Amino acid sequence: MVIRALRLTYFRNYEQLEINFDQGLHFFYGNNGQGKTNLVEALYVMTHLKSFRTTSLNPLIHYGKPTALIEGEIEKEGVCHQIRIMLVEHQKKVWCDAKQLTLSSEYIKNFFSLLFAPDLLAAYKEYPQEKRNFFDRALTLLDPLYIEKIKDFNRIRKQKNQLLRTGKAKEVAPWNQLFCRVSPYLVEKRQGLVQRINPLLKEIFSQLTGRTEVLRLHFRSDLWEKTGLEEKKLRDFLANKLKMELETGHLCYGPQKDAFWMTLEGKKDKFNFSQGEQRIAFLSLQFVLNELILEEVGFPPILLLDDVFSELDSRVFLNTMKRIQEGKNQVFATSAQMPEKVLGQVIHIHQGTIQSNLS
Amino acid sequence: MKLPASLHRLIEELAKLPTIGRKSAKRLAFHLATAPKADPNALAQALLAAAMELRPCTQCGGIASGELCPLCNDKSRLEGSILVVEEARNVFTVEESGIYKGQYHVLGGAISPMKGIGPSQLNLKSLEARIDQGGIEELILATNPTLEGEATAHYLTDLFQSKVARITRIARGMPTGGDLEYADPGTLTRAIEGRTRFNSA
Repeated sequence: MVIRALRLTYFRNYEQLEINFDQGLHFFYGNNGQGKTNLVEALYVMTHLKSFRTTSLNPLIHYGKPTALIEGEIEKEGVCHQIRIMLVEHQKKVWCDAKQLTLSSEYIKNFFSLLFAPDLLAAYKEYPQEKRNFFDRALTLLDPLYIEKIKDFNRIRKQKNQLLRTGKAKEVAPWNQLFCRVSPYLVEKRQGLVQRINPLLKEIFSQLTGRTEVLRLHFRSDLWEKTGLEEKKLRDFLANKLKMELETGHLCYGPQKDAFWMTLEGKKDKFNFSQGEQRIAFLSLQFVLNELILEEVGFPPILLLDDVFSELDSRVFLNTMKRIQEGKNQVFATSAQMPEKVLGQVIHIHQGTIQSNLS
Repeated sequence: MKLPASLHRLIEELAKLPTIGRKSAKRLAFHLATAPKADPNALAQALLAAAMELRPCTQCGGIASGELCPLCNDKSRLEGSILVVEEARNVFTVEESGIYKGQYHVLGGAISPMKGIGPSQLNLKSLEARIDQGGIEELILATNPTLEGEATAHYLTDLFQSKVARITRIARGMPTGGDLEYADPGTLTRAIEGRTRFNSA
């Protein structure tokens, strides 16, 4: 998958921008506050239909303008697709090959990028929901039914929460039955993904750092622990917890509570990892997903690396660059400094314009 | 330009109807008011008669012009089964197929806590009464294959499984004359899970 062109109109600090890309590595460099991350964000929106910096799309529109446009060309498996994303207030309209989309899910099953960004890492580290979103997004590509199941689950959860909030205990049973039908699917897929990630995670972490400790991803599901996801047990379990759920007014158990975390020889990521270890662990995870997607779905995702190199030591930096060069991905990286060795297209960004574009 | 009051009122009333936008409402109203062959009187009579006459069937909740709807009144229909649907219009859809010869029951919606629709908002009392009278051997749940329709089917099953010998749910899967190409993965999964033995003899 390759983004061939990007055109921005009134997006963040860009009034007008047109830029063409090639395969391989692209470096956006420039001083702080010039719009490097904004470009990464535009490429992210093109591949996820949302931003990693805000949940509302409104801040993406250039101040004082009614709409923003992200247009471009994405080449995938030999076919070039014309993309047009219009942001109007809090809404988006998306056209792929001049046809307006009614469902985002069809789009995000087809296009994908892996992002490394301080903003995303901070959210990933802090909020369990962000972790679930992160792995769920990868699963929408790896499993064709996943996105529908997660949509169903969220709706069942909303409906049941409404009953719990209003104390309608007698009406909960049918929603529990639907919950029992959908939840095990989500938990099993997440668990399966973690199992597939682990061998590669260990390997890639040691390749990047030269360290021998084992980096591991862990997964915990309360439903799995309490019931083994057996239908009968699951149903009894939920029936037993109804009183507690009525007291709290929302679902107390289920995939919405699933936890993901990493360890490095017994050290837990949130509490014991250093800043550098957090970054390397997250970067390793991205490279693992890259391998899995390439293997399973057959196309290399776009890699977006926002400010990834600033805190990596030189060994990890060199190993990361080596991995990137050996990979098949189209890569976009940002940096405040002009890179010492020019390895691809180098684009100098200054005040929302391109100062120079060398390759 | 200010429209005559009656024309304005006609447009506003038409625009309240489902699937009719303001533009369509205007076109319909101008057509009724000006086209030589339009007979607004006949339409008005039809509307009035419908409004005066039609009401829910006291037995099934379908559309009736008296106490009972034509289907509940039809003594030739089989008595042992009730097919449950969400909306009155669903009855006519099933009838068009001609496949079903039994009784109907219209719930008037599906359970959806977010929309404030619970079992007490549905037409369940009369269904319970019909089942309690005895003689019902099968309850066919034909609520929509949405989450809300499924939840309703689960609710009805829990409610009546001790009273009705056989509770069934309509099958889901590929539409006849459909093309595999156009089926979404969820529908296809259902269709393959629910596959049946195929006999060529």
